[in-house]
Amino acid sequence: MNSATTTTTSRFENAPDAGQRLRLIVCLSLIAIPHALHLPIWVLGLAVPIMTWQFVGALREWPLPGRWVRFVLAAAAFGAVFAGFGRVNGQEAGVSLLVLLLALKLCEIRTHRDAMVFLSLACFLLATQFLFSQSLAMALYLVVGTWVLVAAFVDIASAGTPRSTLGESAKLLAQALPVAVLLFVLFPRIPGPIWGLPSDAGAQARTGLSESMSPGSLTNLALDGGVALRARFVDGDVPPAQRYWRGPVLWDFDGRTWSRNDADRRLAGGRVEPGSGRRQRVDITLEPTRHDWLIALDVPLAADTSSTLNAGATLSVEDDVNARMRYSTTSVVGGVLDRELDARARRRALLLPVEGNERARRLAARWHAQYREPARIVEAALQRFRQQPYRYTLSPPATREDASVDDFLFDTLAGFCEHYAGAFTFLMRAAGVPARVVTGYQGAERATVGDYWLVRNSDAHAWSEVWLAGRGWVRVDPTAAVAPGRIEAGVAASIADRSSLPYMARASGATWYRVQMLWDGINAGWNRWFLAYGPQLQQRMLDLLGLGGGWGRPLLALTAGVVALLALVSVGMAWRSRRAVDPDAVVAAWRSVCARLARIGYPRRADEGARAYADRIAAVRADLADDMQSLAAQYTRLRYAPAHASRPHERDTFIRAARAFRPGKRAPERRRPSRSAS
Amino acid sequence: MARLRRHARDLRARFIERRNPPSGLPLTISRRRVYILPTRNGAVFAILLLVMLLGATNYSNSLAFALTFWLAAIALVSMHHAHANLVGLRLSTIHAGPVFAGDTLKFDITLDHANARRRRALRISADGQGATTQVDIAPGETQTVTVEHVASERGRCMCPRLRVESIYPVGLFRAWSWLQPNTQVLVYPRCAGHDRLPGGAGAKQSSRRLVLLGTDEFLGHRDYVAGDSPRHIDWKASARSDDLRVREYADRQSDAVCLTEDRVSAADRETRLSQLARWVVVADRAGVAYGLQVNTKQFGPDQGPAHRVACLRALAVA
Repeated sequence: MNSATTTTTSRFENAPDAGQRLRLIVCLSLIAIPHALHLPIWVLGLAVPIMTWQFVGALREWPLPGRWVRFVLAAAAFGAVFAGFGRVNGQEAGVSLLVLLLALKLCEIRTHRDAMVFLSLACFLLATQFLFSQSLAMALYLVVGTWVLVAAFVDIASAGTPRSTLGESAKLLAQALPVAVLLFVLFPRIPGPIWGLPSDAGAQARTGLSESMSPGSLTNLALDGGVALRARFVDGDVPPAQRYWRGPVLWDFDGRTWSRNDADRRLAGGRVEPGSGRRQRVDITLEPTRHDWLIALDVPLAADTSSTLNAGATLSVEDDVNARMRYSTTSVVGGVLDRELDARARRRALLLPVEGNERARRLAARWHAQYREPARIVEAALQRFRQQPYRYTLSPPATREDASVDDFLFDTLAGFCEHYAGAFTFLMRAAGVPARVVTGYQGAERATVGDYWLVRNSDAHAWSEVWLAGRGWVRVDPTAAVAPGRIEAGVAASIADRSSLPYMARASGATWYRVQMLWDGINAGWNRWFLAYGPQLQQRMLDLLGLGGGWGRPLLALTAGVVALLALVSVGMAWRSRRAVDPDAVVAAWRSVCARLARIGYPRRADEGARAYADRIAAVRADLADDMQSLAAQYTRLRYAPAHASRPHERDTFIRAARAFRPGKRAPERRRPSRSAS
Repeated sequence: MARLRRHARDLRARFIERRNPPSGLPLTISRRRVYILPTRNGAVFAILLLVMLLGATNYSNSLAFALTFWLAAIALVSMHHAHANLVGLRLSTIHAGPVFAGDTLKFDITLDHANARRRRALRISADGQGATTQVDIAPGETQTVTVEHVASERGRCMCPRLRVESIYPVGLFRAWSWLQPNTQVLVYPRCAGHDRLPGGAGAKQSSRRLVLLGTDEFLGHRDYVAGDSPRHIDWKASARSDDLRVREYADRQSDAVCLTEDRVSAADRETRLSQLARWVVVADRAGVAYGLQVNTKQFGPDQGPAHRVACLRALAVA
């Protein structure tokens, strides 16, 4: 009954016992499990034995290791991490070090404070999981991890049973959830990064378009079934042939690789003639690219983020896109881009290396002499692609380093889109037609769940733009000349060696495909509303809630909301604790005795103690005197004597006696004389 | 600096006293008497949350934001739990047996509450001193904790101010409250003095040996009482038991002894009362009838526990 524990060691908290230390180890293992998937194996090889050692030590109640052992182990951990990664900061190295140090911290949990420091660091370790993945599964893991961690906090503070601590933890989590949601939505977000990302940050970021294009670079991308972006067409669907997603424009050619240049920023251009073409609004959720451009439907006019349009009509932003990003764009389909070509831009659009690929140059010169008219030169080139036996393939034969265009055009006649776009642009420039390479994506598939379209990395594409007087930059896709199906139906429909393509790029209609699409739909919602929730989306949300314009009103709303929710929690707790009290069994038994006596006409007066009541009853009902006085004595002793003076069996005896006590309405006739006689 | 600190301590003490005047039982912790502050671990945790917030911002990591905000919300909610853990707790009875000055008073305190909420990890101590006791109290349950307090002087001793505190549920906040019951316990004078027990009322002091322990007929053993001469301890017998045993002798023919202040050699009042208290104890143990005169009151001569208590009480408040 009395479970009081006295401590004289510390005024405040008890030192954790072996059981609590065991539970801390279990907690750490749970928190660290997902890290096992991406940390080097040797980190586990060090952490697991230390944790096992401490686990067995806690079971057998071994003494904790001494100061020197701990010092040597900690130094070894630093050394191992430095040897393994060449540094102790950064994402992977830092997390490895944290895991090792937490395992070592187990060796020195002596006081309550040690345990609290350990648990706080474990919270941090849980947060580092999300640098590696932010999937829905990790969200579930967050819930479980937080639940267990908070239970460990409760355990350290109260030493209850695991059942009660887990229960208390679940209650805390549930009560805190509305406050957390409010904080998530309204707490002012500032755009990151604050101190710059370590070079290995976002290791989970998928491969995507790069700043340059050489033979084979897009081929690799075509094998990646990952999602590049998700789009929603606000003004109705766009026909397949128009689904060109503009990425970086490449102006420079060095004989093999097309690339872009910082000087591109200073070029003039990228303006769509007002009134031309059809406007199309598109909302885009872009996966992190780790580059400073945004993808938009060809040709973008503007986006709602702080972005600029460069001379290639590519949207670019100040900082690299390191997190999933949402933005709305307005594009023009079929408009006139740059009716006037700036002189510097024209020079850039005609620039070629001084030498190399001579056969291609000769062919272009012949066309130039023959046709004069740029539009006819373009047509001649496309004609060549159509009529000669060019193949569209994922695995073209290798070409020479310094004559890739020649080899492709005249010998191998096989290539993927980057070969066609590169060679075509080369030919145009050689023939005196301003031209440039545009990289991006072509195509989109409709999601089966949710109103949006998916663009995958395997949709990566490259095409050309030529500048024609009066028409501006005109898109020419030489791939379409070779494989028309590529534009209408995607890579899978147009390529011979389909089996090398990612599953999601080729299969459609199969059950598994539909399940995958459903999952992607859920993920899309998750990405769009939760993961992309940052400064911009928050601003939009605030405007929607009528809290826009400065931080004053949102902060006021946040404070008021948190205070109100906490008050609700407080009132709820008070209300629940006021409900039905389960009285002590001793009190309940005594009350039932009193109730029975009241039924036969002897109620206890409010001011009457147990003994006085028993005496009064004894005076009027001699037959009950013995029982009653014995009950009152036992009750008084159980209730008011110091607890250490009473034993559990006394309690049981009293409760049994009280239950057996059944006073009759009248004293039994036969017994009265004998009682009074004695 | 030291003066400033003392001043601050005085201010604090006065504040606590003003807020917690002694009051009768049962004492219930009311909503307004619960104080709450973050613990040192709570402060560390707050810094950790700040670091996590910066990290989440730096990496634009929504799940890290979610974790940070959830932990912050849990800390806030836990503050209310810590508060509710104390509110409504009731101190219903206090028991403390009388002791001699210089001994430790043991206050047996029963705590209960009338709520359906289980109170966890409550820590009870005499404010600012001694050991701490930790208890859980289930709904309808009663818990008894013992708080020790050294009784330094005879007379009425007020139950020390009690501090009830808890860091439940997560150890980030400490809620506490003070309880000052007006329960008083009688403290007998210190049981001390080396004077011999005076002879019976009718005996001639010059001709008769004083009734003295350790002279006449051997009666048996009894437990050691503070003030017994070490010469009377039976070391062999003591070794066989847990307590020190003293050989007891008695003079059965002796008359009742009369204990008065003027029979004590010491001049100091407290020392005289201490000697009287010891005589009462020794005489009681020896089974001698004795009478006591304190101030103008006369007790006995008599024998037995009730008489002993009456005498000691009279000495306590003399």
